[in-house]
Amino acid sequence: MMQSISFAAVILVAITSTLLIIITDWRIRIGLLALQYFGVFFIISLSWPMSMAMAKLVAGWMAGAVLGMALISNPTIAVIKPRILPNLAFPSSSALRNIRIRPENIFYLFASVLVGMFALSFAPTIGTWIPGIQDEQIWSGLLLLGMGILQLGFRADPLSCILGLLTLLSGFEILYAAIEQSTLVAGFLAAINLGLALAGAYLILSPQMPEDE
Amino acid sequence: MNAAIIWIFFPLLAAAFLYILRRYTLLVQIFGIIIVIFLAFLAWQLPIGRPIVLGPWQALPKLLITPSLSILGRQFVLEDSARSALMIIYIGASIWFIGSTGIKISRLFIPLGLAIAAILTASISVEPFIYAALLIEMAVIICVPILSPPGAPVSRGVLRFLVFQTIGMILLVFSSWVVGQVELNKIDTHLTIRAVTLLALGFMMAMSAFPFNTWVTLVAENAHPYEVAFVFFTLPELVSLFAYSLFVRYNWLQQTSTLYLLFSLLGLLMIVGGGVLAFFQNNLGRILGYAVITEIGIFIITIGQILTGVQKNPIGDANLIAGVPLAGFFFALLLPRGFTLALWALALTIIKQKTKSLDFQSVRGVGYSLPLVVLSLSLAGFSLAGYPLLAGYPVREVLGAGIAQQNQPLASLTLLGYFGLATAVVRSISLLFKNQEGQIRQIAETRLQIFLLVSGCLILFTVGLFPQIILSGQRALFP
Repeated sequence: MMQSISFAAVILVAITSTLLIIITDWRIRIGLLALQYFGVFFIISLSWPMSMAMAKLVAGWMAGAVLGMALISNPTIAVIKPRILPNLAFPSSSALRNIRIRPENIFYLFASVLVGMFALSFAPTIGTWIPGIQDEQIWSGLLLLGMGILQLGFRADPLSCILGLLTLLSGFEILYAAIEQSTLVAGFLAAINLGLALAGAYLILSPQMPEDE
Repeated sequence: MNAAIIWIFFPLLAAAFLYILRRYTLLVQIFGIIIVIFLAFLAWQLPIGRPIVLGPWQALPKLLITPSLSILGRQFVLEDSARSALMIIYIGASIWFIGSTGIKISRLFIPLGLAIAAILTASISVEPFIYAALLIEMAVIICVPILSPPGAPVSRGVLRFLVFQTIGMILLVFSSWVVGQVELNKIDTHLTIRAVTLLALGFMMAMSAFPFNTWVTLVAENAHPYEVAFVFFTLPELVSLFAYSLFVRYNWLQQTSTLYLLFSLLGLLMIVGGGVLAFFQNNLGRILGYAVITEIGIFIITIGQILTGVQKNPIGDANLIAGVPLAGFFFALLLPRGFTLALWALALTIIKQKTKSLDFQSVRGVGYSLPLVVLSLSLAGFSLAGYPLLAGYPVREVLGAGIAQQNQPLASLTLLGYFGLATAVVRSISLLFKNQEGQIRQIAETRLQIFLLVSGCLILFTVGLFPQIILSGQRALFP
């Protein structure tokens, strides 16, 4: 049962991390981040007690909430303007308009597939490095590490940078959870997640702040 | 009473309190300075783990500062031997806080600076020490508001800084675990190679070593020079303390010749590259950035020298640096570096507040109205370039002699880096005193600024002329 749930969680983090790169609407991205943390929670619970894994989920959702609050206060800065090709435009809702098939999206998708393939091919090596780690943890950990780096490489706005770092950190936390089960480390990592989100919120809002704030 | 409560949690609490009071700038500055000086004084006077008699009152119960505090199953340990490091951390903070009184500074600077000092202390005390990498990341996050001031667009440099430091933290935490595994299984060469590779990559990112140093000049160009220089001083200090602990703890790391070679080449590349590139810059902020890159190179090469010193120590072929107490030598780098960077950044900030930009076009002829500022900037620059009689010289001399003992061409190349930096400073001086029509020749520094600049210059000379003041202090602290 746990095996199939964790496998579903791997698929969930694969989908959410890919869409996080492709989609430009910040509302959907924050939602995807929350979903991603849900998957991370299930995978971490393979190594950590449920209460500690739950702390990870709560910290992740709080990070998403902090970013969301900052973006509600200043939504213009974080929206990546899509290059609209009029003949390809969807006439439907704004959310769908942002996931229309654009050339760069095909490229992002292709790059994500490559990262996925790398994760699958490198997983056996990691399995020999970290004793006792499960395949689902390696796949999802490497996938999130790769997708985080991909996101950091493709986008240079503060929101994407923070989302990339949070994704990267989630991947690391999944792998590290198999090594270290200290409550203090869990606390530190939760604080770092929240701190990154707060730093992101500051970077999103700071250009509009008065200089002497 | 507990050491961790005094030197970690009290300053953290004080930082939160000062953050609440941030609108009262002067009050925050005064409180901040008093707190850090008080903490440095306590570190100097109060022994940890030994009963302290309260003055002449023998009848009163003796005060005992316990060294360890347990939190969530892990320990924060500050032994009596850590008092020297505590003094350096809080004296360092006091230098920066005192310097900030002479210029317009962000309201967040003192509260965040105090929090960074507390985190720095926590990072040297946490057990197992690999968690220090996580604390370094927290300090990095706190640095973000310092590097990206309110009202200014977010620079690419800040985002790069955050990315490199976070990836560096991940690599350091993971490599620390692998290093621990090597300690258990020293025969496995693959494991050793893996540990060394991860560790080297992690340090390169966290120390902003080449090629991960691109953020330094980007940030130095745009942000507040004084606040940026504080980050440039604190973060490499934090990371190098972590590196130092790691090398002291694991003997096999000290004997890894690959690491020595990597550190030496990387340090050399940064000293030469930073110095030479500084010469070609047209912005005073960027020159400071490249000077910092040179400084990071010196840190890296010092770690390499410490490794060599340990390797060659047992037999007659003793390295010069092996004769110096390692911790003392390492810490002797920090305070003069703090003085010098603070003075340079103070001078740059005064110039920027007058001209609004540090581009060569904007600062032309500023020296006629800010002569002491230019003097301080020059002395600080020459000090970092290793000129005799200035604070940076004594340690650089020992370091240079140590490198020359190992490899003379390498030592000559480091001189090229110092020469590039010195030439950049000379170029800046000539520009700052470039005569222009209608130039106002009136001293524009305030009295407080004059006091701070003159004191800074005197300190540079005092440390340069009488290095034994700091070095003997270090020797007493690290017998």
